[in-house]
This record gives sequence, C-alpha cells and structure tokens, in this order.
Amino acid sequence: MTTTSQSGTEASAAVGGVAVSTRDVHLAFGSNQVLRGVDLDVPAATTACVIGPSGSGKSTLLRIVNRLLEPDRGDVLLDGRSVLNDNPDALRQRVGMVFQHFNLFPHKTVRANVTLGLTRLRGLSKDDAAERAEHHLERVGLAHKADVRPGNLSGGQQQRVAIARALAMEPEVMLFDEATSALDPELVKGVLATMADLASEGMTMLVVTHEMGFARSVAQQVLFMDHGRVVESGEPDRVFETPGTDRLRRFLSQVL
Amino acid sequence: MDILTTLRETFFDLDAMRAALPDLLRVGLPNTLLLALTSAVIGTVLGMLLAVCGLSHRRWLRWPARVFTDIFRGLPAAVTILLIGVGLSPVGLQVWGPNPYPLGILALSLIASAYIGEIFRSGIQSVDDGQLEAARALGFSRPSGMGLVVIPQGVRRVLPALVNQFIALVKESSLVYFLGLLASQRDLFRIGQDAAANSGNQSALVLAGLFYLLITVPLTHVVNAVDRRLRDGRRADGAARPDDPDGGVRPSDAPLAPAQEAR
Repeated sequence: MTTTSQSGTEASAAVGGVAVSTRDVHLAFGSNQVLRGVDLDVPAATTACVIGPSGSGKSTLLRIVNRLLEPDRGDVLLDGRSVLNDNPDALRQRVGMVFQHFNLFPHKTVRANVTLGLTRLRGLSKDDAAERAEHHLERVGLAHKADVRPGNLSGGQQQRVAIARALAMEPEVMLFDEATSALDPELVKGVLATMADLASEGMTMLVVTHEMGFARSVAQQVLFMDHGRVVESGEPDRVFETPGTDRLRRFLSQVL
Repeated sequence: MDILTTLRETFFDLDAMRAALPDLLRVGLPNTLLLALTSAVIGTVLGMLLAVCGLSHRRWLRWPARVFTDIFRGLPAAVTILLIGVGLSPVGLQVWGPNPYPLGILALSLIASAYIGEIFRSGIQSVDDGQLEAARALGFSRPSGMGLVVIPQGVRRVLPALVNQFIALVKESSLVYFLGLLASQRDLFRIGQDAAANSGNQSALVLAGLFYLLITVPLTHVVNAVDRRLRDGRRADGAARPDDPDGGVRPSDAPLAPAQEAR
C-alpha cells in the first residue's frame, strides 16, 4: 500500500483549510429528532473526529455542513461566515466529501471520475483537468490506475480515488463519513495514511470514524455524539483517558 | 401425404412467394422500417421525458407522466392507433394531406413511450442514491447530477429491455393498416395479407413473416450481446491478470477506456 508523505511539499500549495463551525443545529426527520442542538468548532487546518454509536446523528451532522441536508434551525459557518444563504452548489465546491461506500461513478474511468467536476464545474480544459487529476491521483498513489474502471480496484484503492476526486476540486474543508468502515481490515491503513497526510498538510477535516487510533493520533479534537447532541468533546488524550460522562465511558468500553 | 402436400402449397408455395417478393422488398420493408424506426426514436425521447418527469419531486410533473403512462400502456394498441389515426385525421388532413403515416407514427410513438418510460424509470431508480449524493457533494446541481451520473448508469442497465421494446414496436407497426393504406404505403404485413387474400394462398404472408423475423431475430441477438457486454463489461476492460499484483490493468491494456472519457 503506497502512502503519499513524499508528495507533501508539492501538494501543500493546494491545501488551504478554513474554520468550520455549527451553531445550535437542529434537524428532525418527521417525528425523529436526529440533531438536537449541535455546536461545533473546527479551527482552520485542524482535524476533528466525531465518534459515537450508530444513529447518534454523526453522518447527518456532516451532511448539514455541506448542506446535502438543510438544518431546521441553527447556523453553519465557514471561515466565520454563515453559508446557509449561499448557493448550495457553490458551497459544496468548497467542501469535499468522502463517503463510506466510496460512491465512485462506476461507468467512468478513474481519471474521468476526478475530471468530471473540474471540466463541468471549474471550467478547466480537458487537458488541464487531466493534468490536475494526474497530480491528485499521484498523491494517493494511484496515477497508474487512471484508465481503469473503479469496479476493478480494491475498496482501499477506490476510497483513495474518492479522496483524490474530492481534493481535485481544491476544497477548503474535507468531510469524511466513516471512510474506512466498509473496507477490509488490511486496506484500512492505506486510506488512514492518506487522510493523516492530508491533515498534516493543513486541511481542515471533520472526520466521522470508528477508528479510535486515528482519532487519537491525528485529531486535535474529539467529539462524542449521542442522541443528536455532542455529549463530550476535547483533546483526544483527555477524552479517551478521562471520559467525563457515563455514556462516553460505556461507548469506549464497547469499542476499545 | 395428401395433407402434407396441401399444407406445403398453402404455406410454402414458391411461385406465390416469388410474386409477392418485389413488393415486399421494395415497398413493404422500407415502410415497416420507416414506421418502426421513427416511432422508436420519438418513443425513446418521449419515454426519457416521461421517466424524468415521473421521478421528479414536483407533483405537477410526476402526475401527468403517471396518467399518460397508465393510459397508453393500458389501452390495446389497436384502440390507440384507431383513436389517434382516425380521430385526429381531420387535423392531419389539413396539415399533411391524406397520409396516415404521421398519425400512425404518432400513435406508435405514444404507445412505445409509455413502455420505454417505465423501462427508463426502473433503470434510473435502480441506481444507488449514493451516486447522486456524491455528484451533489462535488457541487453538481440535482439536474446535472441526474444527467451526468445517474441517468447514464440507469440507461445502461435497461438496454436489453429497451431493445425488447424495439422488437415489439417492429411487430406493432403492422397495426397501422387499420388506418387504410394506399398501395405505395403498405407495410410488410399488409402486402403479405393482400397477396394472400387475392390468391387464397398464405405463402405471401409467410414470406412477410420471414421478413419480420429477419428484422427481429438479429435484434434479439443484439439484446443478448448487449446483456453479456454489460454483465462482464466491467471485467472486460480491466480484467485481473495473474502477472499484475494489483489485480488491474495498465493503461496500455485498456484500449476501450479512453473512449469513455468524459467529454
């Protein structure tokens, strides 16, 4: 599994993370209150990991940040400015997202997956887009797979292509929704290494994960969510060593 | 033995076939192909429109599409062709003169579009929601995401069903004879039937049937080929090779891939 630490100097020019915040975000699906007032502050160029049991609202929170879901109440701020009145399509070009099941476009080659947004949304020429795709695929160690369909890649390779696809849009924030949960154990490391590299290059990252080791070693901040609220948050060492609530203690005893 | 001879003369009289052949070839075949092809094209375009409207979040788009589909899928083809071909003929007479083809094609297109719309709809619906979500997360609007990512995948999945619909259309085109055809407007069926009626011998109709098979049987093979290609197409352009530890292909091994590049 290739890692990409050697490309850091060249790529860092493209990484310019900005701060992300949410204020008192509420969302209900019918009578189901999924988010009940979530406050979140991820300073620029830092990584925050969101942990918690399934159904706690972690993935929903990510989708509020890039407005794939609109909050019933509350605010979302990028770089200190509310984005709820922005054009959502324009906002999503500033916020990259990586999904649990990769969601690569199976009918397009790896390269075309990366270039689609560049040519159609960023207005790059086909050649410029291909060049930028090459660069970002190189970063995740998969430039040699550019002409292959995603279906022929391993899960780990697909997820790294998905990361390259998001990064090629040069986002200011990256959202990861359980990016390694669908991977075979031996493929998890490569994806986490790619994510850790990105964090060290100064991307602002909001990471929903079950990988406690990653949360501990990469994140500056860990948030524990349960029943639509942030129950506890803080520096990883503090959260993992001295959990302040029973709920977090119980959760940690189950996952660690 | 006697019965066999009678049967042979009734259905496979070579002289009767030979007599009907020029008309079938010069008039019937082009007319049948014209009817089937134009209504296939119009039906596919209308069908896609119906599918997209039927999947819309807007009720005022979804509703008319559903009603349209229910009507033209639910009516017997003969009823639709007669209602449109005869019912609208006063209008047609003023626009393009006494030619039943435009209205016949319209009726066939409407029937085909109802079926094709349902085929497209099921294909588009079968595409995982994550595909549209990923497209939107990149910054595409919902319509662009549908057009660039979801619909192309959905259509690929239903190509075999689509070709089946084209086969049905070739056969249904014979029903335009209801509308009354001039000698030069007759399709394969009508020519075969006329010859059979005039001679009291079914051989010309058998020959017309053979012409239909000549069109439809290759199409069924197209279905199978398309189906096969879609089934293992994803392997075919990047099959795992024993000498490649990564289980994929190098660019030089995938001649098809560049052609699939996004425009």
